[in-house]
Amino acid sequence: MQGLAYRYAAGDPITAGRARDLPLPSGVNPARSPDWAVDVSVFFPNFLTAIGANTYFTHQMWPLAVDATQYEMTYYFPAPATAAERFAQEYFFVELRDLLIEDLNTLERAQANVMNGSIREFHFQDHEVVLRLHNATIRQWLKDAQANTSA
Amino acid sequence: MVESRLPPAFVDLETHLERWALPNTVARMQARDSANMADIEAFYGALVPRLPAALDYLQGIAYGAEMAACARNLVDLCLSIAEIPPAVEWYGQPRVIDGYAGSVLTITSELP
Repeated sequence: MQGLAYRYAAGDPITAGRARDLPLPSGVNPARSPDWAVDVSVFFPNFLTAIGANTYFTHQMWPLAVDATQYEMTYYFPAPATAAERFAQEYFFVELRDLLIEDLNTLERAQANVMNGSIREFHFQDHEVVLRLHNATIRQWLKDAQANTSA
Repeated sequence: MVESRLPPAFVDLETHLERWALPNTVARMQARDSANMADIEAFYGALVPRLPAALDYLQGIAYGAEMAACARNLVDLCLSIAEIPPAVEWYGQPRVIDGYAGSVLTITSELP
């Protein structure tokens, strides 16, 4: 059914091999890669945008406690011109929502295993250099906060 | 004469309206979550062969509150069938494999 949704979408919500020809602003898919899907930008520390053609979505994470986070995802679509476009939007919403349901459940299981001591450390590979920087910066923030509290 | 609840070319789908023409995304999520696979596959089997024709029809209709009631009903059926493919095509079960129940999510606003 994905193919039908593609056919009636106003734009390419995820890549359909036409990214080079899409009328995108110069800052989006700047390399004009034909296999482009979305541009993901992270605004440190807790806001992420994923900009695609004809849609974008954001993730925002709010820490509530050492073992709890409120996770917010927001989808943005233009108003559908036709009723068939509305179907395509719902289809892509469902696909992304199901991915989120899977990914967040994986995160919760990992967290449970951190809390029970089964996982004691994470290894960031070389291609996860941005995660290394994120982790190091957060640790420095916490260290600074503790120093200020105890001062 | 009783007015048809669906456009003339799609009246054969009327039997699915009561269960699957739903008012919003939350209701559609709940419908998939709480259905068994036999019901999901029956709806999928009935709707998917008609979907290309339905979408061709709906491509000619401006989306909004001014849509005729029969077109709105057809849209609502199509929005419900948009909820179904992952269960049939990917998981073989109503819910995401190794995922939450959809009810864990709080939908704070949704597309009209």
